[in-house]
Amino acid sequence: MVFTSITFLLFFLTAFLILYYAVPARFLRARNAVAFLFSIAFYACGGVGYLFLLLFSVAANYGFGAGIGRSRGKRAKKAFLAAAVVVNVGLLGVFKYAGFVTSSLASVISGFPVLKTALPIGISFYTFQGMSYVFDVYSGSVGWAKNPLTVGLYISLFPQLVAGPIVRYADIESEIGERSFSSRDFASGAVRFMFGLGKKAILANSVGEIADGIFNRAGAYPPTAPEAWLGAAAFALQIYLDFSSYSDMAIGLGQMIGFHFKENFDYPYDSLSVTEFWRRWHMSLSTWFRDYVYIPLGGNRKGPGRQIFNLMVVWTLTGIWHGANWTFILWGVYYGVLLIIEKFLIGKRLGMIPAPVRYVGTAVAVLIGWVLFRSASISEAWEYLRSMFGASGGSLGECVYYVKEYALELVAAVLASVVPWRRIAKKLSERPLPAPVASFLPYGAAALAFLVFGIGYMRMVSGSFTPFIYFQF
Amino acid sequence: MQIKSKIGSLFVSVLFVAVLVVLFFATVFRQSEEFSFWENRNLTSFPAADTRSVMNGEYFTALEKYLSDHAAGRTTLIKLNTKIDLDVLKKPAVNGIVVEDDILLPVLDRLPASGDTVALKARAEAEIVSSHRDKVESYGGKYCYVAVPCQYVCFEDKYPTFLYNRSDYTEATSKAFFGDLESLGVDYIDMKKVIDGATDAEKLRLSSTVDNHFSIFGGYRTYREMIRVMNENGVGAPLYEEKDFDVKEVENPYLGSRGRKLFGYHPLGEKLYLMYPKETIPFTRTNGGIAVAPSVYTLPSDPYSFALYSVYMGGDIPETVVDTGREELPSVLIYGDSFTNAVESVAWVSFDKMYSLDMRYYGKMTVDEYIEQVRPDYVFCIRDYEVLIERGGNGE
Repeated sequence: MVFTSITFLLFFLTAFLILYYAVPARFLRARNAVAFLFSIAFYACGGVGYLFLLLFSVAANYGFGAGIGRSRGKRAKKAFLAAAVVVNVGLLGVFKYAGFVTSSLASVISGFPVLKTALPIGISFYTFQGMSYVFDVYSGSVGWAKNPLTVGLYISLFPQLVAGPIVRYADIESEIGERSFSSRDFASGAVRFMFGLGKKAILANSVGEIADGIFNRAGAYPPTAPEAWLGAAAFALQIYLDFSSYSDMAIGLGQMIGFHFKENFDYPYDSLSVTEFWRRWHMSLSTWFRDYVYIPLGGNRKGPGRQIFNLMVVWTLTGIWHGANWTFILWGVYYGVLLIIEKFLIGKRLGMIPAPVRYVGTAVAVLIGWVLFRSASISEAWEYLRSMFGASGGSLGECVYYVKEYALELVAAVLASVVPWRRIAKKLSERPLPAPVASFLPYGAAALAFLVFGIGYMRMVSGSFTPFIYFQF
Repeated sequence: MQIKSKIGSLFVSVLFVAVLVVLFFATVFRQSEEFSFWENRNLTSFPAADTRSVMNGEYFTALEKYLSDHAAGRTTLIKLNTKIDLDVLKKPAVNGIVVEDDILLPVLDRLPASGDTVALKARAEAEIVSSHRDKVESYGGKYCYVAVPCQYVCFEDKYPTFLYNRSDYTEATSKAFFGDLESLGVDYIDMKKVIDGATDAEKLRLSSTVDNHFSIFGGYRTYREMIRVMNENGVGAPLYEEKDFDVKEVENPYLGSRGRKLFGYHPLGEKLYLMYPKETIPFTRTNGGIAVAPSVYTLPSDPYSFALYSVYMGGDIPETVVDTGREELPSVLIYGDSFTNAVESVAWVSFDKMYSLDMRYYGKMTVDEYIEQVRPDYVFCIRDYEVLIERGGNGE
């Protein structure tokens, strides 16, 4: 189920909020039970069959956490940790990568059997959350959860279940056990949710039509250079607006029910380097890999050679996490190489390059990355990149149509992606403003959110069903 | 930027939930609809659950489709969205329609104009046509294929320069297909040549600015060509000149398929016309073997409703037989898709019996079986340029 669906919006969310708040706040466990049951129902809508996998993941990670928590000896703890890694990575391996691996082998070994498994929605997200719980229990940064419902709610909580952000147990543990509810939080969450829905339904879907229009025909009809750049830029906007709107809605929903998730994006398209881009893009995933892979591998503590190796491991894994395809692996390796170049070859000289040049350089590097990400195969990506650099001519082609057709949406999409609205709002609220202005601004924002929600609902009803891009990861 | 006042935040919170609740009730208790007139399709019906579909999630996908089709205020919201796109954002294409001041055209997908595909498909299609021809000739009948240009083919030059008009594909497919028909010795009429030779004003009269089909005048010109070919091949049939018909304008506003997609928000004032023979020609008509009123037009029941292209022959009917009881005249079978309707509305006057099959809906027999059973003197297949080498869609 996606947030921008009639099923979710009018039926699921309405029923959930009414039932959740029908339980008095003092019965927090009962509210948690309502949230857990609705989360299970939410996931079951993607196919009841896959629900068993989620419940298995919850049960297994609860068991591993309990095993580590109860064990006295380091060996036993390590054994549980290793088992957790094997089981979680195994789940991903079987349900996400088995088809890719076997089909890759079949392409070189004739007759090799190809496994076909359906990809359970959100498996990458909840598996990583489950692992992070076990890792944190092992490291001692959190205690093991005595109540299985706590782990169940942590892993399955529906706002962040299928498309993140990847929440850490430490960040949410205290709120599962004790949290406050206020109309301020609810209103603030509702406003965030409505803006998120509008961002997805109005902007992401519109720029997505440009990207799809150009990329989908690229194989048979290679785009001209301006078309190719427009397509790449439109996809860059689409993936950011799509994914960040989902995070907005998740954070907003969380806030409505008393949870406070960390931000997942910090206006990544304002970055002046690739390193900065990745500090601002999908932050919950980057920090996950940093804390659970890069640092345990030795990080930068074992010399430059080992650091380069560690970086390449992390970025290859980041690529693979995004999808079972060579394009994703190449995309990850591409970023690994870029980050290594920035760190070891350019280093501090990066600061001497004028900001506009750095901005353009970063933007071009990111766009090339998105071409690798969006293409169905490496050869398709290569052909597309060739088009970007003039292999299919330089006429405007259909650019004029796309710009005329989506002029307003494109402008709004760029503004929504590069203007740091949250920071501006924060600064405004911290400034001593005249009383009428200070009191009007939040209401103005709320009114705007309702308007955006209304337009988003109109677009949602008018358009066809559009699953979120990140559901496939 | 948080609302600091408790009352204010409570108001926003309650308003948000209230909006959801109102939409929920409006959706649950809305008047049930099964058909969407503007989309010209049946709305999704409530899905039936079974173990497999619930387990793999297909049931919930179908449920979402159902709810999307039956959401509160759906038609109103889609209309509003269309109006905004047309009048506020002034998009060059709205709901898949290229909006120009004087014409509404379809947005076209690119289709491969080069390579083996066109040649292979053209050959395969021509061979099918040739087999029908052989069937007809086996009992001494005659066969002719009629290719009619659909709207985008008539008005390639009306597309804005930044939009694809498919002229490369049109040229490639027609060249390949007609070449194959010629090599197989199949008689054919290419109505595009007639349209191309017309003046701009005449082209507008023969075609339509708001619909994929030609006008009744385009249908009449096709009929003329058919009679010419029949006479050339020794099957004499009287030609009724345009002056032999009374032309009557349908007063109801004409809603073409293009305008329908825009909810009639971009009217171009085009009207539908009917052609009645001045000479009284009694006839009977059956639809699927059942006698119906002897008329080739089905007009709207009141003066306020839209008139649609289905005025001609009553729309897409699987099998129709018009019998004028003049045994001295030839009998014909016209099969194809909806482009036959405007032709048949005037052509019947020249024949003893006119059999009409819409192969998209007729399933009792194959064309060959039908031909064998009826054995008409002449058989015409009328297809439009979009499906010259296609089997899907209107090419069924």
